[in-house]
Amino acid sequence: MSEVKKGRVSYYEFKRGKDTLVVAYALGHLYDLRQTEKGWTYPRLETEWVPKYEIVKKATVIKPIIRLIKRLAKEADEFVVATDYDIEGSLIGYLTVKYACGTDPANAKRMIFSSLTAKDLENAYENMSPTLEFPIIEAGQVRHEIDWLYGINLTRALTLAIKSTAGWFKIVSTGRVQGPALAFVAKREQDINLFVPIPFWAIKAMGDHDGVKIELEYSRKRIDIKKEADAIGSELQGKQAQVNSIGKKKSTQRPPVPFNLSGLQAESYRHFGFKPSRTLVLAQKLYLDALISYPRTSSQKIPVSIDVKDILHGLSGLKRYGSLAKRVLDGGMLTPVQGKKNDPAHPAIHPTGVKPPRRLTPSERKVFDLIVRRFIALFGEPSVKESRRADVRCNNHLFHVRGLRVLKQGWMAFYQPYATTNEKEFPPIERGDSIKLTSVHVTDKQTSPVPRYNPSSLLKALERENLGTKATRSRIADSVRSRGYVLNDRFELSTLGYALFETLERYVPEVLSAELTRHLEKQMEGIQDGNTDREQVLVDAKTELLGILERFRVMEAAIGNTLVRGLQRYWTEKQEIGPCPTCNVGTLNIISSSKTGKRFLGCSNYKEGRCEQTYPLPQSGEISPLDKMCPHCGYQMIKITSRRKAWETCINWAECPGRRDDLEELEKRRKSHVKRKMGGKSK
Amino acid sequence: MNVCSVCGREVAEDSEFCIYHRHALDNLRVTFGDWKRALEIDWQEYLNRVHELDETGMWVREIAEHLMPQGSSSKLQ
Ligand SMILES: [Zn+2]
Ligand SMILES: [Zn+2]
Ligand SMILES: [Zn+2]
Repeated sequence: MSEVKKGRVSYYEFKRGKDTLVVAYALGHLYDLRQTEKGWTYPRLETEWVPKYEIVKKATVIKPIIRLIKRLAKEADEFVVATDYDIEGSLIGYLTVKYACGTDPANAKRMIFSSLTAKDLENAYENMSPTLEFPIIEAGQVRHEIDWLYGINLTRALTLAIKSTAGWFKIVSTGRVQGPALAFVAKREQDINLFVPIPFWAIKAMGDHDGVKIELEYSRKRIDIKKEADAIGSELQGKQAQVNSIGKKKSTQRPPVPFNLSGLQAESYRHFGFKPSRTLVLAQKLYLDALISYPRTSSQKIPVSIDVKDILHGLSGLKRYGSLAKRVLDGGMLTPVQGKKNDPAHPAIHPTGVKPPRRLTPSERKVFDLIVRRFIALFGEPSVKESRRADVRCNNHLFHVRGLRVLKQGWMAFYQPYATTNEKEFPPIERGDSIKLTSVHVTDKQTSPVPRYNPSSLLKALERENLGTKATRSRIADSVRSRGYVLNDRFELSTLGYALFETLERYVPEVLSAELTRHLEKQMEGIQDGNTDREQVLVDAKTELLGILERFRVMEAAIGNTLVRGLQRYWTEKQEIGPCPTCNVGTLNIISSSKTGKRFLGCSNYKEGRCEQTYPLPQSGEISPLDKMCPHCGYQMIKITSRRKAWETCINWAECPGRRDDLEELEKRRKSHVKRKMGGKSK
Repeated sequence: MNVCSVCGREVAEDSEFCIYHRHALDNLRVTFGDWKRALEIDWQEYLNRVHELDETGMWVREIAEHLMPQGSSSKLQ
């Protein structure tokens, strides 16, 4: 096989039997939706597929790829789609055949595989499907279309409401899945903001038996009345307690189930702190190197069609896993544990047994290690633990003394260091022994609110509500953050996020509801089952959206006001003033020069060297943006509040024809300020 | 437009506060029962203690602060 380079892109060519095979690649989607009518306004309901570089200016590599495929297609007499076997992959293949190859997709064939090993690919080639999977393609297409419709129209509606209220152009986005994700975060934030803790008390005791210190746990975990807790504390201090009984309990635990994507993402977050989106990117790289199977799967099953023996043989040739894999092979128990969830397209994530063709990065190695060890653990025997509990009495009070130990490691031996048990040694006590309570502590406690989401728990919440897809969920969680709707990785809602949530909840609550998406998912299933078709689903979605947009239009002024107030609060907190009038992309920030301590307004788009706009600022007083434009020059107005007075001016005050007085006034004050300063120095 | 004296949002129906601060006040009043039983304290002392805890929600803290100096316990019981 040989790679043929063509400028920035390339293709592969080789012989198989008497056929010459030419393999060209796409890089994700080559085509994207664009409105057919003109104008950055709403409603816009009609779309067409166009080359992605016509929409996303950065996608420059797409152009030569499409050109190459077009040229190669001229000489091909058969077309086979070999993209990832899922909704997106199928749609990419279909669009490429239709628009780049310029041929009828009805004639194209399809290779179906779940890993990129040579064996699987050859098998997929020998047994290819004679047609593309049209119902899946239709479903994928309609999801793109509906996401476009909701995302584009609602984002424009919000942004234009702000523009007509305050004259600012600040993009405020929402979308089919982003809305409900924002609602999750906002509702959790409300619960936290409304939380009132309730006090309670806990009793902790230490005892002594023949010189051995023993930790005792009071049987009531929570005492609601302080007097009662204090009374127990003083009653028991220094007393003798009796060991009434000792109980033993064995428990067995089966191995954990095979990884699907969300399982892998959760475990990777827990052990390495990797965000779900990062784990997906790393897993995708491992997949492209044929080290693991296709990662975007919901399945927790390893079907019998997968040759686990072969995989374990492969793994036994790897230095880090050789001895573990051999232990499984020697044991002969080659039936993996299965989980409940299924995915018709792909099995659970598993290693292929292929040796890494290159040195993996430390992060890749971590995810790979997790996947391999989890796979090996599937063949382990159940682990057995023994827990012991002594009931210890003193007067009418009951304490417990606990111990836990592992009797048999089983699968846990294969899943190290990820499987851990908090073993606790049981002290040498027997029935009838007495324990002296050497210290009895009463500690103040209170209830805590539900925790905020983190990237991993938000992803799980989206999954539970069936929002988004395996492939898009982690990106949605990221977008809520990158749009400034939350402040940090703890998903603390920002003022802007709150303003957007309040606005949507009040005026277009359906945008926040998961109902819309649930309905769409049902319809997509309907398309795949042949119960409905894409045209019908699109007509319904457009009718619904038009209704929302009409109501939006009626309340535009009120919506604009709420958002503008929220934006102002947000900018005040972030030391931002408003959009940059020069480039319309960045925002104007208050910047203090570290050398001189002087402050000025600078455009946030400055770093990329794209906008060098700055405005001078008065050097004292607190600055906040106002919701109006200068009547003289049309620039943004700001308010300056100092201890003595508050006054208003425009950011363009240094040049504004209407602000000569301000300027003179400032000049005067600055001179006297400078004089005072110089006087101070000379002393 | 009547605005909430705590935050400046529009007031909720039948209330001098916005929906959030009204809700926070409701929660505060409900929980007072637990605190009274647990510690035998009065409303003012309760507000002080809740105000100081890290776990207390922002809106609850704000409304507690708003209620603290006036000594308005009689009005709210
Ligand atoms: Zn700029
Ligand atoms: Zn001006
Ligand atoms: Zn309020």
